[in-house]
Amino acid sequence: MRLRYSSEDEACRAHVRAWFETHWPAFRARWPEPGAERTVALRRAWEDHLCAEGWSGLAWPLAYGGKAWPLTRQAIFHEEYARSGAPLGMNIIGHGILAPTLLHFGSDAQKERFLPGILSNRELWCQGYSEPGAGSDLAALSTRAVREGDHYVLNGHKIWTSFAHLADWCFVLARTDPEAPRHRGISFLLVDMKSPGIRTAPIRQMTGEAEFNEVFFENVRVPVAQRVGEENAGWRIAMSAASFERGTYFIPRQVRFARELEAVVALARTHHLDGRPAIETPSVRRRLARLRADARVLRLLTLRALTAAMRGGPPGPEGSSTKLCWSEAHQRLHALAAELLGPQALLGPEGPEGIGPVVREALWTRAETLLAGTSEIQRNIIAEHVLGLPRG
Amino acid sequence: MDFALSEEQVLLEQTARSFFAERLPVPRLRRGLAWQDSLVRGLWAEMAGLGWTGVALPEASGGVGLGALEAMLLARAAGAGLCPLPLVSTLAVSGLVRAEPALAPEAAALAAGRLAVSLALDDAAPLRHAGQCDEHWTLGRGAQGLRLTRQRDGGLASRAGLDPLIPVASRDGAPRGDARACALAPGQAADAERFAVLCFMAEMAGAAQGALDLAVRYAGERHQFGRPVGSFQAVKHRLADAWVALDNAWNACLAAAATLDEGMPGGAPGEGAGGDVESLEAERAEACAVAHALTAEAAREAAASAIQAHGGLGFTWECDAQLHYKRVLSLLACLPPAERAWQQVEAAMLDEALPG
Repeated sequence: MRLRYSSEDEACRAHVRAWFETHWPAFRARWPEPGAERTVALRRAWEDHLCAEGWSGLAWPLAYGGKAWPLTRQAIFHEEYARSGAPLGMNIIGHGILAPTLLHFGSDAQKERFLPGILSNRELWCQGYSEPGAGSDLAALSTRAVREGDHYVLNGHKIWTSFAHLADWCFVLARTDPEAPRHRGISFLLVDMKSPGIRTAPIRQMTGEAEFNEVFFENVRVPVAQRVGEENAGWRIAMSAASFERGTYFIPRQVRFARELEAVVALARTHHLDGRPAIETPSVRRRLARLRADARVLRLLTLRALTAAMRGGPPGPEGSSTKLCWSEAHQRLHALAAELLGPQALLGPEGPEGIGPVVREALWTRAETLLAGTSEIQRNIIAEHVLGLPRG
Repeated sequence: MDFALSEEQVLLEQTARSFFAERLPVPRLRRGLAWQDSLVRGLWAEMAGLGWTGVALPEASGGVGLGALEAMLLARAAGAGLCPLPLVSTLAVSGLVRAEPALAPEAAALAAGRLAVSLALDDAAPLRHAGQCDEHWTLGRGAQGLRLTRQRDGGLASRAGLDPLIPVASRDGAPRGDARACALAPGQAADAERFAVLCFMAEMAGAAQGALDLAVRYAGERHQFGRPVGSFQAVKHRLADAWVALDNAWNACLAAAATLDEGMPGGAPGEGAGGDVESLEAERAEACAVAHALTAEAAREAAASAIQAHGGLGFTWECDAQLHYKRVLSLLACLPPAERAWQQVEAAMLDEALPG
């Protein structure tokens, strides 16, 4: 039991921190508009900058241009990135899910073709998993890929695909054997978004924005060489992909949570409730203290996951608990922030700086208990896989 | 960075769990244990022989020289096994004995099993383990800060209390604490009290986890509407929530113990940023307050959920879940209120002076 990083790791932290403290404010200063850090244009350019400066492929082997950093250093990088307040890039799915999947399951040709585009951020990826009829029950997916010579012909309808309208490539789960048991008839395909027969339609969210899309595939031809792993082995690949980042996945979220909590405390000092600073209201103080305890717990959950990954054991179902706790606490955090705005909240998500973004975040966090496995699914996983209760 | 127990620590807790399950099974506890019974004294001597009563006492006094973390692991096992003997109290005074030179002579007696202590953290609390220990120690709050009073157990009129397994005695009519009272130096007293509270928190977490284990087993076996009741989401989600809250609270306890042990003999080494005395004190205060606040809530809720999951059976005297529930309630009653812990978290967050 040791809750501190080694002095060597702390030296690495100082280096990473210094880089972000220099580069992020300088980069941000080139975009004069308030709120620019939330725009696609800035996030893409910032991610290009990170990659150009070599902050990419930290976990990859040296042979593919990676840094082969040990997990603690990766953790420190993610902590310092989040601490700097710089926004996430647009290609998180490429860096975080597809790259480790290719490194683990991809052919040599696939690694050579696709890894450089992720390392340099030249190619943006999206994930084609969910369907209108296959959400929480993902294995019910019905998008079909029928083999015709050295191609598959893809037909189907995906939904909730983040940034599909901008992406160059999509990794798609498609049914290649409709006769097989449903988990065993699915393949993992890499699809060029410029292929004929693909149409994307934006989904407008309750925040007013449209980051998600529906994607329609109509007789889209996908070379067989763009299948990752064996035919019908896609389910196992997709499930492994979800665990590649388990050691570091929640680190940025946990650090952002702590930062955002500080901002809400500041908001409670400046905004008034009933003519007094909100911070003097006992119920506000208590809700903030509970969030402070949540922040500590989230940090410990991420450190536990990091330790487990360092020790190399199989990923446990405890990840579901981290997702559940983080998403629900994050909702409470932003709901409180929006409440503290009082009547100013009426100005809505498009309102001025200091108001609009607070309302927008409070609305956005409703998505977090839904995406990547709803809270109900996470509770099922905990009940069935941690406690061993029978399936419903 | 290594937020996990060592193999030795895992083994220590497992050994203690097996010990309680095999040597003090619940049906035997329900029949009652007499402290004067040579078998019971033999069990106590055995625990001392395993190094448990002195796990966090200095090696020079015959202790094992480990820290709050190991004391907590034993306390959690004692809670899970509903141990009625004053092991957790005896562990809980280790911090006091380490910090207060006047108590140093007692360390050897505690470690050797010659002194079994029941600890109260409130001057007005009834005495627990009446007739089941050698001395009652009370850590009270006076005008000069924390003050320890001690009294012998002999001659107290004990009776069954809220927890059917732990006899209690009213303080009315009990002989007053003897002259061996001592005032504690403020800095050390705070850590000694935190050490004690963490031990009781661990016992509470163990008792609640034991209740949850019973509930999970029952929900998997009991059938209604042609299905195990544990397959219904209304049941399984409540139990999942109980597990999550207990797991979070336990992590907070582990982190608090690690913070308390940092820089102590036998504890985790301090290294890296933020190692100065002031920030370590602030970190200890907040880590312990969070552990206290979260464990109090999680344990109460988990034990209550375990009663509910048992249906009508959960309300019966026969069902062991009630024993776990009452252990949790009685520990909550004799510890400082969680409200104070929440106020400490508020103060830490807002950089205000800490309430007591």
